[in-house]
Amino acid sequence: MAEKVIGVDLGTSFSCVSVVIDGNPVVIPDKDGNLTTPSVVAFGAENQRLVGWKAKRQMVYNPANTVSSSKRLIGRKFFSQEVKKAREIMPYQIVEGPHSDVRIRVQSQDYSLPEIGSFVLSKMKQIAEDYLGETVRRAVITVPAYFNDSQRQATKDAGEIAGLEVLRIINEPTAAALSYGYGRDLDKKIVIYDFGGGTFDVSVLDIIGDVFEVVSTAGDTYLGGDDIDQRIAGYFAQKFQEAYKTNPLENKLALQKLIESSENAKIQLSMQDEVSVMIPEFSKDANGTMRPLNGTLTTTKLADLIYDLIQKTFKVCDEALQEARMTAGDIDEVIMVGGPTKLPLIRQAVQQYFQRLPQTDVDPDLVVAMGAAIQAAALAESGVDEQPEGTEPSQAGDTTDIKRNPLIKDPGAAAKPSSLLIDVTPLSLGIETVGGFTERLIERNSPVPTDQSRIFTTSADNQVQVKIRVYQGESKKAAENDLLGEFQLDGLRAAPRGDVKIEVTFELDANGILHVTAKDLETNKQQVIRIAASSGLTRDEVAKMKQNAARGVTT
Amino acid sequence: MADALKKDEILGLASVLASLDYYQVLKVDRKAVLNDVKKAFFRESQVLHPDKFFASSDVELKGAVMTIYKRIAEAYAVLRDPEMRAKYDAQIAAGADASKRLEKREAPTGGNVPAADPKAKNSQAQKYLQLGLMALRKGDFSGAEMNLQFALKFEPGNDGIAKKLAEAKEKAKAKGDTKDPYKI
Repeated sequence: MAEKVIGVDLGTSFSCVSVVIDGNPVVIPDKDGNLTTPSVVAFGAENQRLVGWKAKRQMVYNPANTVSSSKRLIGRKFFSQEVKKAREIMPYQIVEGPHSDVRIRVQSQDYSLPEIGSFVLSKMKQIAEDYLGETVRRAVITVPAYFNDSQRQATKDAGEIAGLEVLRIINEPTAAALSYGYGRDLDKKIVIYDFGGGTFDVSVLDIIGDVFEVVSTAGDTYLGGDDIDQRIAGYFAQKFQEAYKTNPLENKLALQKLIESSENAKIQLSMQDEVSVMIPEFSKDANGTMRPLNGTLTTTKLADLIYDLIQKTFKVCDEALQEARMTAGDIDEVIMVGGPTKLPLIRQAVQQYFQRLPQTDVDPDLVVAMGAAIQAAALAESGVDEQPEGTEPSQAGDTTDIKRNPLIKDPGAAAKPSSLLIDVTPLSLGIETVGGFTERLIERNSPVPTDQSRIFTTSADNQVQVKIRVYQGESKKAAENDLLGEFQLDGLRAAPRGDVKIEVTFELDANGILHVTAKDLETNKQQVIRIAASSGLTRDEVAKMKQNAARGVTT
Repeated sequence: MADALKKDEILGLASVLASLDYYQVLKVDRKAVLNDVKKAFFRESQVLHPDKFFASSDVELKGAVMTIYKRIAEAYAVLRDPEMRAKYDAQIAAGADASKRLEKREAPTGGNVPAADPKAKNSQAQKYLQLGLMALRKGDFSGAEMNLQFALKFEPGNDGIAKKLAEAKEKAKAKGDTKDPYKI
């Protein structure tokens, strides 16, 4: 049997691993039977690391050495708004790295975000290996659909540091769609409403049989369940402040306790209409006396607190439908992904928006990993079906035929469902033109792989060299998009502006990696660069971190 | 489900790809409606999507598949969009020699590094050079010609000034303002 390829949902709050066995995606439990693992890493003495449940349990007592929700920071620049926001609310120390990237400082040691991600991935790899009883070397990992190139590359680096060959990075909502439609021979237009721990994505898909076409995708990479927790925490903090005239959020331990209680309150409101929150030794009042926190939260109050967040998600839905040239009425099915979608108030709002009951058959916490496993199997098994006639793919296990489950009709032959995923690029790609504008070569929601060329001219007289700056994003102003890379083409003929023509070609491969070529059409001289999106780390650093990671102790 | 193609069929298709228009690439009629275009795209994807060959070790085959599929995706992107399709149909109707791919407009590049301005060592030469360059930028080519000539007199061997002078002369001529300074 071919080596298994795992599918990993590397989530903001929780991660999950799955593998396809005999054509069925199976979610792999850890030794305690848990199907998901907290994406939390804690550091103890002597390079000891805690990952998952053990790390989450000690979080309240060890906030400065416990890293959670790190996915919100991966692939981001230190000076970005998102990082600034995180520095205000995260209990751990966030510092600037050597490439204006982000590092997390724990016990005077700096860790890059791909390293933190790799600790979680190593844990998921371990869980799979324990279950399968074999070494796992390859994986498909999911990311929010709206992740840009740097965030994708950083996630890939995390896989590499963890010792995994990442066959493909796929989008979370797409994975959920695969999992929903796999083996069901559907003919439907579906929407995936993916409200995760830290990100929100919407994808519109057209499924016919085993072909899954992503028609459009839109999202917000800084909107998620964490924001709901913070709103609840803010509400209780305000109540406390009114009573005791001091802001409890200035105390990191109190903040950590409050965030945890808020998260629990949110989860309970998925099942009941009212919840009481009680933290015995919460924070000191203005006179230094320790005071408890006592309060209740109702569904109605929560609806009030997060109304604008929910409205924000529908703006994204509008965008995705518009891009797909569809209206809510064209959609046959709405599938909910992510923990917060278990909240009845979110389900009701979604039902109202799409005018139909959202699908509840699928487990919002597990579908993404299962979809990743389905894609992993599809890739691993591709191109090997060219069996010469008459030669059965004989395997050692063939003699066990008699024991086969009688419910599986045609063992071996066509029993396994197949799947083909046609994905799109979530963000437009282009270059900067005169005046600081962006000229798009590849429009967002173009099916990949794809290539596009465009003729550019010089913009100044006697311009003998031209700088090609490659941007990703939707803004007309280049500076408001993400700069992916730049290079120079020189030796152009000195001539009046507009005379010299340069052909620029963008090629986006199935892995979403961009190759850019610029060619002087007079001399045929050309420059090719592979836009190795900067994850914030150099290749050497990744290799070094991989070695270090192998040495560390994880429990 | 469409039948799998043999390797020589795929290589053959890749070799004639440049001569096929988008309709031929998707194997649909010129009058095909949106739904037919979509069905054709799904059908071709099932056979020729690179992921169907992901684990194959045949580099030549994989390369051909990639080339073909990129064109299939492009054909679909154009033909499903009424505006782009209309443009494309007009392009095909305009001439048999027209490119088989949808033509895109030209745009000037940004983030440019224009040729560096020449410099003079002699202070008088530098003064007239600056005046000349300024005139050149304003489009006053005859004024530029005059000042650059002065600059060159103070520093005869300067190549950079000579080139700018030649440029000013050429532009003045093209613009038709070869003013004779002595003419009233």
